[in-house]
Amino acid sequence: MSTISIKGLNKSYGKVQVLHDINLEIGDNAFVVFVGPSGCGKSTLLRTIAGLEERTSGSIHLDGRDISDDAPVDRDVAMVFQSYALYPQMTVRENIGFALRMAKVDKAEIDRKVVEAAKLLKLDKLLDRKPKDLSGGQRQRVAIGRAILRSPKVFLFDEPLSNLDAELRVDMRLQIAALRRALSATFVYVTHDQVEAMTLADTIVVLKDGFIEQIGAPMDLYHRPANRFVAGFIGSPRMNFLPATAQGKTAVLADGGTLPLAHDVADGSELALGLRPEHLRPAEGGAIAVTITEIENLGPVSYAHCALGDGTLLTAQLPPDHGLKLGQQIKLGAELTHLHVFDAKGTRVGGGAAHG
Amino acid sequence: MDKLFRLSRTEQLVVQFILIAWAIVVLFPIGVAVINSFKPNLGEVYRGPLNLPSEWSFGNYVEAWVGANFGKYFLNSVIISGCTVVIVTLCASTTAFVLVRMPFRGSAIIFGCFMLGVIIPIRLALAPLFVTVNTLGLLDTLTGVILVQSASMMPVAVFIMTAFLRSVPSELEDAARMDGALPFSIYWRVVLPLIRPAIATVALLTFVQSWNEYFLPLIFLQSPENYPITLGIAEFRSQFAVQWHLMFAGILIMLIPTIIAFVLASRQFIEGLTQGGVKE
Amino acid sequence: MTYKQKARIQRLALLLPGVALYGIFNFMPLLGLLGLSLVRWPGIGPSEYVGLGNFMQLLGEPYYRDQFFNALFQNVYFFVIIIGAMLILGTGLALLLSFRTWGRNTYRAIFFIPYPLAGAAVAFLLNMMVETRGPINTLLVKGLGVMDAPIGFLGEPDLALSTLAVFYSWHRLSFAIILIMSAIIAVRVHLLEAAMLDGANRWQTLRAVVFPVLGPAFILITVIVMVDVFNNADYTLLLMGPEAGPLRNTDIMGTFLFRTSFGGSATSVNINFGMAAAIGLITALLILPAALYLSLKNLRKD
Repeated sequence: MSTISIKGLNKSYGKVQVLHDINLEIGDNAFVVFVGPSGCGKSTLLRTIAGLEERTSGSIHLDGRDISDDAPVDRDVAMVFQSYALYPQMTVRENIGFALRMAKVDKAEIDRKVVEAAKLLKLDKLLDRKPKDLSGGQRQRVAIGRAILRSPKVFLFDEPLSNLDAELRVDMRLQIAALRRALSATFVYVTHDQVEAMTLADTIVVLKDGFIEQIGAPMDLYHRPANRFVAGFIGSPRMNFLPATAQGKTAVLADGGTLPLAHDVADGSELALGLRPEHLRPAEGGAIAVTITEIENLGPVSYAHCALGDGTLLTAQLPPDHGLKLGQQIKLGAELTHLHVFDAKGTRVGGGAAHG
Repeated sequence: MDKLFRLSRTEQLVVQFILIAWAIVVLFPIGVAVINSFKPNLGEVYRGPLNLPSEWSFGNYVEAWVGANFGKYFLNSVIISGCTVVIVTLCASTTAFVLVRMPFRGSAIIFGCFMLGVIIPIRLALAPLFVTVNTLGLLDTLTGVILVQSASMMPVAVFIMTAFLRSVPSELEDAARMDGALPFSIYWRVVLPLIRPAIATVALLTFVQSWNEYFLPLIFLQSPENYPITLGIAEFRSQFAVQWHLMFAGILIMLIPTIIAFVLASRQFIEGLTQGGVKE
Repeated sequence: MTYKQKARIQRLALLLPGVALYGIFNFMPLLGLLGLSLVRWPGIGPSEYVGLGNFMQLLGEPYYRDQFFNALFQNVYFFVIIIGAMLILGTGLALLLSFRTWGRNTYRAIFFIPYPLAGAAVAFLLNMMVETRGPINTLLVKGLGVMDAPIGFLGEPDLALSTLAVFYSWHRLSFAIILIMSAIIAVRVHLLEAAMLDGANRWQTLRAVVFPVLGPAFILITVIVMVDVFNNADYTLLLMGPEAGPLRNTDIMGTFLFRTSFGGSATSVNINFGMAAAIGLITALLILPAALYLSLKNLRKD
């Protein structure tokens, strides 16, 4: 069993607190992704789980055992680093087997395991090369191999694909997904790329400034973001936010257009209406009046970047045969089932009419 | 930009003149030494110190090496400098490793103590140092000189090593920690190969400083058979002061290792100079 | 034993050699200066606590006071000549080497040759050059016929210290040249270009853009030379002996310190390690402000 239980974890560097009251339960063999903007603390959290950083307070349990004070090697976790961190003067074979050499395992046994891992990662022809003779993707796989050899309960990945170019990144993403199916362990993965998060994760943990903003399955976060930050972070292109004021069961936009709300909101309160680009369509009787400032045609889909009367910018998705032009003034209609309502503080308070 | 730094023909000539003049000032003593060291007898030196030798004989070098014991002095220098280099490179690198990567309460103070040693030269503490060495029974031993010289080079060496190590990312060491490597292993297998340039710089600076050191051996050695070459040549002078041809040969024997080191590693040298002193 | 326990022990083991070596043979003795300066002790036999007695003797008793101030003033004179040569000559040569001068790399290499040479070698080498029967005098008297009689560079009381200062400069000038050169090269190109576009000629550009940048380099050179010159006296000791002849005209702090610790030729009766410690302490106090200033300046830039 490789369940992780983090309770009340805080971490400070001197006077600066970088992790605030982190509470997290990670299930057996789950694939959890920590995601968030730079500086949100996701790498720090990962390194604290790894044991490379000391926690200031709180506890970490792995499989019921308290590992909060253990050295990294005693925690039964392995880490794959962003820049691979391969030992430059050692061969691939020696790199992968390093941990077992440190543990003084029998040499024949090490060799056997190294070859096994190499086959799994398609590195068997490269065992006697040095890191400098390998491509980025190959190096990454050696780093993964090194982690595999420790037979850990948990694999920790620290932005492993950030140093690869776009094409290779897609490739490696698929390989990691395949790896996950081949191994029986919990994966904790850190990235700033929400596409990686959405495609790889069972559970996503969104972090901001050292706080957990929301935990949930990718589609949960997509359909029911807890606050404006999560709503804006997950999903590409970004969700649009229209400023509005509440009047009974209606939200009134700056230019007078209205959209119905699912329930009462205090009269006069400031709201932000969240609508994803794919839920805005040009419509004759639409409530949202905009001027088109930019059109992007990507092939299967097009986007119109528009501006409201008060200057707020929106993006709307268009069908490929939209026939619209720059500068055109059109009306957009919203799919009310996908309308999100956020209060002045950014918390989600509900949806539009016909939405739960 | 070019216009600023390019020189007209006349300017170039003037500049060349000045530079050649200083080059002569620099090379003159060495040239004279070389020429006269090959002269077969003293008379020739006196008659015409600036003339080329009538015949180029190596006799003076042999005489100095064997007859005047330079071979022994040279050997002592090799032992002292060699040991000092090894000790300083090892100790400074391990100390830097702990202070930078494994800090603890008080490591900042220890670092401060080393930096104090960069500013305040060891010679000021001559008297207490002499007492220490004497008490330990290390007076007039090569070991004593080696330890004192090593200690005198430690501050600058630690400074260079810590500065370098701080600029190296610690990811590789993190990986080794994850793999269960203990500090010894991390130091030996991961860190040492990474700080090779700093080690080269420290080794070079230590070697030259140690080889050229006159004062410390003077204080801590008494028997001539322990003398390094710097003391040896002073001894030599008291015996052979007038024998200039021999003196020149002896001096050149002393100069050769540092000139070789310089030729082989001139860039390292200059880098070490600017690194040790300036951080512009 | 857990990993953490083992790691802690290994950390200590890695730290100990360097700290012990430095502590025993460098740092502790430095601290010991404070204690030692308060006793009178001829090196063997008993030591006698005298409180500030050594300091009072040093500054009060004519025998010591005269030597002390003589050494101090001569040291300052020595320093001034050297620093003048290094800054003026150094800047001049550094500038010439930073223009597009033919063969400047060769010149730079040649100029650097004296630096790694042993002080002892340089001392004896240059000594032989200036001997009355040596090449320079031969050149002056016979070769060029400029003088009638050879000059006793190191023999004349008035010339000896200056000659030693010249020796030092010959040995270490390249240090100044290289530091100043690296400062000149570090001057950003666009500053120079801006000055050029503003119509400044070479001299004006140099004065406005380059010279101000030399400040830090000058300070660095000054402090390093100051620390070296007030503490070390290799040339003097080697060539003129601890008595710093002729007639103590080449006496500087380094020789004075040596003499009080280990005696000169005829003054062995006056060995007082406590006094030597006192002198060391005072010298440290004199140069400490400048040296601290430098290191703080550099550290702050990190």
